[in-house]
Parts: sequence; structure tokens; C-alpha cells
Amino acid sequence: MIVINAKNISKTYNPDKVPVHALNHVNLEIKKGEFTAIVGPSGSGKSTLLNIIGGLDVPSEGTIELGGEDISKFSDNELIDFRLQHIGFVFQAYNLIPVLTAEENVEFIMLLQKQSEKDRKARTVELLTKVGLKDQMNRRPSELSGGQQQRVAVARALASKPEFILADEPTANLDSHSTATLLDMMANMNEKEGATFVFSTHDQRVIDKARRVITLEDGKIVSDEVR
Amino acid sequence: MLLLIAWRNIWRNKRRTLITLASIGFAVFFACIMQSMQLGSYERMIENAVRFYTGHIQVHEKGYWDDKTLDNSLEVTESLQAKLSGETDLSAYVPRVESFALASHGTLTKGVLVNGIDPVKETGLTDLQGKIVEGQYLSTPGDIMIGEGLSAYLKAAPGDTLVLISQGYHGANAAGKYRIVGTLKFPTQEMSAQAAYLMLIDAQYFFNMPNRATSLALLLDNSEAVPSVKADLTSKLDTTVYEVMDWKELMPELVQSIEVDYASGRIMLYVLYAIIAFGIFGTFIMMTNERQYEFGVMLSIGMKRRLMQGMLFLEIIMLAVLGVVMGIVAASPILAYFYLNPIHVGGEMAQAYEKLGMEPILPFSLAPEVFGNQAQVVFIMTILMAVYPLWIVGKLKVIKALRS
Amino acid sequence: MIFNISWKNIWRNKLRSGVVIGAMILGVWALLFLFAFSDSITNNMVGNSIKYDYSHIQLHNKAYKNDPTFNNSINGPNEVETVLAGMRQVASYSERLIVSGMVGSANSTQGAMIYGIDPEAEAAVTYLDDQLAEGTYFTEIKRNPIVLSQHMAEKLKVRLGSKVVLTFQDSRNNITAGSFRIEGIIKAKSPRINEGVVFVRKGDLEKLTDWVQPQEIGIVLQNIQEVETVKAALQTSLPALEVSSYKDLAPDLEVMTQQTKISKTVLMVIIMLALVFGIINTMLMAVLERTKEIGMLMAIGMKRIRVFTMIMIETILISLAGAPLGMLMGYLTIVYFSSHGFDFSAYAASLEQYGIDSIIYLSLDASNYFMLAFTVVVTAVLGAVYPARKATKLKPVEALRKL
Repeated sequence: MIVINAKNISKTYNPDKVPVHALNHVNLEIKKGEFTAIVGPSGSGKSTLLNIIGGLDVPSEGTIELGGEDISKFSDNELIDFRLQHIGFVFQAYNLIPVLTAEENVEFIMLLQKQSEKDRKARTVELLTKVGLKDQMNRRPSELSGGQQQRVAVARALASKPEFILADEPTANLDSHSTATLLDMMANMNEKEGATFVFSTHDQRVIDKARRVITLEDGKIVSDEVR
Repeated sequence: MLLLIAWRNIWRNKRRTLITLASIGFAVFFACIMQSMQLGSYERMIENAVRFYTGHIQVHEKGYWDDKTLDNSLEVTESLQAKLSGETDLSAYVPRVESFALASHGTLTKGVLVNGIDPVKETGLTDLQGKIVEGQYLSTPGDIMIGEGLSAYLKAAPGDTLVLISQGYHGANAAGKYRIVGTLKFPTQEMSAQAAYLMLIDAQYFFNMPNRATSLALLLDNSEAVPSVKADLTSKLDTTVYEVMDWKELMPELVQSIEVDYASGRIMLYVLYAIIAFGIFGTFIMMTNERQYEFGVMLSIGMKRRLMQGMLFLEIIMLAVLGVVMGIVAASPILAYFYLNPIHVGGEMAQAYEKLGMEPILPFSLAPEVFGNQAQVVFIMTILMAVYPLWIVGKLKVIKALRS
Repeated sequence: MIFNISWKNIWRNKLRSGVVIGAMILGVWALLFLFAFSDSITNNMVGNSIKYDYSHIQLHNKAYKNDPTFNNSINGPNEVETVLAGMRQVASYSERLIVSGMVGSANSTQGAMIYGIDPEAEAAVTYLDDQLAEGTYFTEIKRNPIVLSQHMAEKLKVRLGSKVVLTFQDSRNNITAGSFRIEGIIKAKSPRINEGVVFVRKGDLEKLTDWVQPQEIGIVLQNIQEVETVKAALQTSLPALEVSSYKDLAPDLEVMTQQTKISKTVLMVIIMLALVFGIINTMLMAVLERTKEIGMLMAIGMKRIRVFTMIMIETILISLAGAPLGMLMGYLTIVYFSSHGFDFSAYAASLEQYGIDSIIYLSLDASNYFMLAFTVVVTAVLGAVYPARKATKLKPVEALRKL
């Protein structure tokens, strides 16, 4: 099953003044259960691509289907709702709502989805246990290490039962130990729960773990290697 | 949950929140004190005027107020008395005869304002008995009480005899001799220099107007009942014969002075609030700017703009409520203290007050609008300024926010 | 250099700086306006009372104040006239014969002070003729003319040309009465006169009272500033008389002026405190936001005192930036309303009680601008100390670690 289907995507910034072609006719299909890294030097267009497949940005050209739906015609509000129901996000840093505890951060997204309290509580505990932070549930982000914060972010991303999870440089601010823990955990989720992960990264440790590596250069896919 | 996030958010930057709260609280505190003093002085002015002179409502013969002559006096009939006594909120009605006369003692003569009163009823309304500085209250026909200033001018003290000369009802000649029984203290020099009090029957006899009065002053149980009692009396009494006027009609200058003073006070408060508003606006700008990334994350994970705006709005309202509460809490004990122990003004200031016909004290008010007004202004102001952060969230670009 | 950094820092967040500058503009402008407003009203009230009632100096018999009878009149007015004529500072003076009595019309009787005056002399002292609302000023009616206030006319229910009867005690203590015809009705600017003074010719009153010596002489000087020196000079040449300046006669006017000063100061302090809150709030944010940068500056060797100075300068600059504009706006507003005036006719009845004109023209003494400028500087310094101190308390290492 294809969860992401990007067809002939182009993105041009500043079309009137100094056009910057961030993406140049990119085609990309991601299937359910993939563990994919999008790599490339900075300026290669990987962030743009990730933003577009995350429904955060719209392409200048081409169509993007997520879970079989064409999102290019969606309104701002429909997009937000679509992201809530179908996409999980993990960012580089400062992912979490700083005033909420780990538990509340995970629960928050299910609250937005209007899930019942019972379901929320149960799933929160379940997920935090899986990411190994059951004991730190009541801590606020500032009381957690960077790695722990990212694990909470992954738990939150999974909590909404999305079709896929987009992780934008999730390990950029982590030490190697935390990186390893986080990657193992994500790989585990991928294998056991079938969660689909798409990373943008230039961290070799992430690339090593990925089972598909798409390399971007100057807005074009230069290699797409499945291991 | 939204409420919880909002609450925690306002305490994220404790120092900033405290400064903001302090500035709102400061404005509310001063505004409360200022308004309390203003309203207090108005209440006192009205109370003084009502208590001292007019009563809450007056009934006259139609035309008396425009043309205050004895010829426009009314007859105190049984049916009129019955109708007045039937009013539920009425605590007393006080008949009076008022006119000018020349008062002489020995070789000295002066124009005086003669008040014919029912001694018992009058003191019930105006506490006239409490104003005695020397001698006694009116008790038997032939007694007269005069203001201190008048007493000094005429060199007449209790025990002396005063001769009054005037013109009575329908031009009759009026002359009489009265024994001074007491002198009275008044807040205004004008009153002190010309007031003379006779028993009602003496005044009626003197002015040749038996059973007539120039006015009936009505004292009600509380001033809120004025409109209803006035309406009721207007319907019960023959308005071609009588006029019913409330204190606002009786003292239009007082009502106007209060309006002018209140308006100028409000202008000052608005300036204060406007300046505080700038500070609060600054807080909102910073609150919005430094959380761009966070807003971006929230938008990405699927939080609707409306919901985020709701959360921000809650934060802002909480700040406003806390600020107002702080200001009111700080001001209340001070207001309560001065409400119970009004400040006495001394020296030259006191003279100036007396010259303006006011008691030389600074009374405070605890009327609910002292606090209500501030809360209202702060909320309106805060909500107006909340437009900025809400607008920012409304047009926030996710990608740009995530990059910040 | 530090000054330069400070100056540039201000423009890093324009909206935020705009908030402080805007608050200061509003505060200064509003204060100047409110100052002008309260000063103008007080000066109008005090000025009207002096101009139309008390004059600059009054002369009385020493016993008159406590015992205002014929016996306590000014003895030998001719001698006084000679003294007054010899003083170049004296612009004009008016002799008054005053009795207390009653004014009666067909409808009503009121108590009143009856002033017997020389119309021309009085007009030169209290501008009585200028206040005429209806009729003429002692020029038309030959026999017993009287001029009284609108207020009195309303109370008596009389019009121009109506007859009124004045009743009072003559110098031999007999009650006498005289019939007068209303020649003019004045809109008196002094509440006291409006309330209870009527004017007749001194000659007419002399006949009725059988008394010629005046009880009061009102004096207007060329320059009100000379009031104290002239008072002293008069007291020396006329030791038998009581010489009173308007301040002695109406201490409440001085109190009014003082009270206006106090309330202006209170208002200014409150507004400035409100500004201090805004300044502290904004600048503290600016400092905390730049934690890392300040940490870096300290790490590379900037001394704490320099950091302190930098933030002080920045705060003071930003605080003072709005003040000149606020001053200018305030000045222009006052200039505008100095010729256009505020129309309070809707509240004329209440203002009249206090002797305030119904149209108020604004004016503000220059000293107010200087005082305000000084206070603004104090405010700026006050607002600057806390954020600047806070900046020096930052620890370079912590500051750097914090992203």
C-alpha cells in the first residue's frame, strides 16, 4: 500500500525575483512499513520535500497524494486536520509543548483527535512504556534530556495512529548514546508495529539503520537505494 | 487541558508575568482609589444635600419651584397627608415654610432666611438638633434658633429677643418677636449667616398662612426608591395642583458638577490605562514572538488555529483577571479603612471646602462600580490588544515558524 | 562605541521599541494636556474672582471685618484718595458703600448685599459694565437705577425696567426702604456677586442711609506682581486701615491653586510609575532575550560595568526617544486650544457656581515643560536600573549554554 505518492513535484521559491528551484520534478512513492531516510547536503531540497509530503507546504507544480487523498486542493484547516489524523511529526529539537509533562504531551494529540479519556490514558502509558520513559511520565520537557525528549516526541507521533511519521533531523542535537537508543526504539516500532518512518537526515548513524535511502541533490533525486 | 496549558503558559516566564500583573494591578489599584474617592465625595455631596436640605423628593404647589413665593404655598390637607403616609418606602415627610425676613436685634438688622419647621420631623431628616452649638432646640412657640454667623452679626445670643419683619401670604404685613433659644453650626458660611428656624405654627402665623407650607420634603428609606416613589406620587396626586420633584431636579447644578468631575476623572484614568496598555501590549508581542517555533510545532502536529487562538486568548484573559484581582485586593483594605475612617482635611484646605459648601473630609466609597468599572476597562482594553497575538497566530506560516 | 551598540540595539525589534516610545509619547502628551487643562480652569476661576470680585487690594476699617457697620467705615476717604492718586502702581480704585438688606419684588424677597458705587470707578475696577447681559450701565434711568445679576433677577422674577424695593437699616438704625428700577442685568462672573450682590449709585444709597463714608475701597494695580509691595506701601501710609491683598481676602483661591499643583504632581507620579512598569517590562525582555549575546560579550572580556552602561544607555535612549515628540504634540494641542477653546456651555450652570467661564482657552506655563522633561529623565533612569542590573547578573557560561 502506497502511503505517500508524490508526482512530478516542483517547488520554486521567489518565482518573480530570483527564482530558486528547491525541487525539480521529483517523483516519490513510499509504501506502508518503510523505514526511509532522505539524505542530501543542505540546500539539496530535502527539507522542502519533507515539508511538502508532511502537508506543511504546497508544491508549485505536481500533485501529492497522502493515503490515497490528493491534498493539494485542501484548505489550511483541512490540512491541519489531515495532519492530525494521518501524519506524525518528530522535529529536530523543541518538539514538545514546554508547559506540559511528557504524559500530557502524548495525551494532548489524542485530545485534539477527541479520543475518549480512557483510551487516551491507556495508550499514553503504553507508548511511554515502549519508549522506556514510564518513570519520567510526569516530568516536563525541561527536566528531560534531549534524547528523552525525542523519545517522547516519537511516542506522541505514534499516539495519533498516523499512516506515517515524518522525522526532520531527529538526531541532530543528540549524543551518540541517545541517538542509538532513539534509533533502536524507532526501528523496533517499525518492525513490531509496522509504523512507517520517513527521515530527513545527514546523520550517518540514521542512514546506516535505514532500509531505503533516497539521495537528493539540487532538487532532484539522484539515487534511491533499497537495502 | 487548554485551560491547563494556558495557565502554565502564563507562568512560564514568571518575571514577565509578574511585571505585567504588577502594572495592571498598579493601574487598577490607583483607579480604584481615585474612583472610590470620587464616588465617595459624590455620595457625600448628595447625602449632604438630601439630608441637609432637599430630602429625596419634594412636593410643592404647582409652580412653586419656578417662583418661590409664599403665594405659591400649598395647603397641608388631610387627603394629601393620607396619600403621603400611604407610601411604603417613605420614612418621613417634613413640612416647611421658607421665606425671607429682616431680623433685628437692638440696633442691628439683617436679611435672614426664615425656616418654619416641625421640630421633631425636621431633626429626623436633617439632624438639626445635632447642629446646635449653644443653647437648646426649639420646644415651645415663640422660640427661634439662628446660625452662628447670624448670631455674631446681630450680636444676639440665646436668651435675647429677635424681631422679624417681612411680607406674608398674599402681601399681608408680617411682624413678630421671638426668643433665641439656640445657635446652629452649618457647613457653609452662607447658611450660617442667614438661617433662622421657627416652629412651623409660628411661621405659619407670622406669614399669615395657617395650615400652609411652601414645601414638603420627603425622606425615603433608601435612595434607590426615589424613581418608584416619585412615579407613584405623580400618579396619585393631582398634578395640576402639585409638583413632585426628585433631588436631581431640585439640584441640577449638583448633578452637573458631579458629571463634570466624574468625566474629568475618567479621562485621567483612561490615560493611565492607555499607558499600561502599551506595557501589556509589549508583553503580548514578546509572548507571541518567542513562541513562534512552538506555535509552528503545534500547527504541524494538527492543532487548529482556532484552538491555538483560544488558548492564547485564555492566557490573556487570565492575565487580565489576575491583574484586576491583584489591584482590587491591594486596594480593598485601604478603601475599607478610609471608608470607615474618612480623612479629615485641615487648615486652609478645609476653608476652601467649606466655601464650596462641602464638609472638610475626604470620604471613600465602596460602591461596586468602583471595582466593576476597573474590571470592565481592563477587560475591554486587554481584549482589544489580544487582537495582535490572535492575528499573528491566524496568519502564521508553519514552515517559517518552524525555521525560527 | 557602547553608545553605538545601544543605539543599534534599540532598532532590532522595532515593534517592541515602538511600544515604549508610543507609551512615552502618549504619557507626555496626555500629561501636558491635562496640566494645561487643570491649570487653565483653575487660573480661569481664580482670575475671574480676582478680576471681577476681589480686585488686587482692598481697604477697610480695621474693625469692619468683624463688625461691618456704618461706624466702622473708612474715615477720611479724601486722605486715602490723595495717597492712592500719588501711587503710580495704582491703576484705578472704587469706593463702595455697602449695606446688608433685602431686595423685594412683587413676587419674592431675597437677602442681598447692596453696593453703592460710583459707576465709572467701579467699571474700571471690577469691569462691571463688561458683564452686562441686558440693558444699560447707569446711563439711562435718572432716578434710583439698580444693576443686578441674572441669578438674582431670576430669583426675584423681575425683568429689565421692573421695580424692586431695597429694605435695610440706615445709619441711625431705622429700617428704611427705597424703590429702584432695574437698568441693567449682569451675567456676573464672580459666584459671590452672582449669588447676592446688587449695585446702586453711591449717591442714591447715601441719601437713603444718610451716610457718605465708604466701607470698602477696591484697588486695581497696573501689574498684579506688585501686589505685595503696594500692599506694604499702603499699609505704611494708611496705618489706620486694614490693607488686604486678594490672597488675604480669598485664601481659598490660593488653596485652589495649591491643590491643582498637588493633583498635577500626583497625576504625573502615577503616570510616570505606569511608564516605569512598561519600560522595565520591555527592557527586561530585551535583556533576557539577548542572554546568549550578553554572555558572549562578557566571555570575550566586556566588563560588567560596561554591560550595565550599555543597557542603561539603551533603556534611557529608548525612554527618552518619545518624550520630545510627546512634548511637541502636547504643545501643538495646547496652542490649538488656546485659540479655539473648549466649549462647556452644556455644563454652564455648574461651572457658574464656581465662577468658571463656559469656554476655556488652554494655556500652560513654560515651567511645566521643564518640570515634565526633568521627570521624564528621572523616569527613564528609574526604569533602566533594574534591567541593566539584571544584565550584569548573567553568568557568561550559563548565558552561553542557554540557546
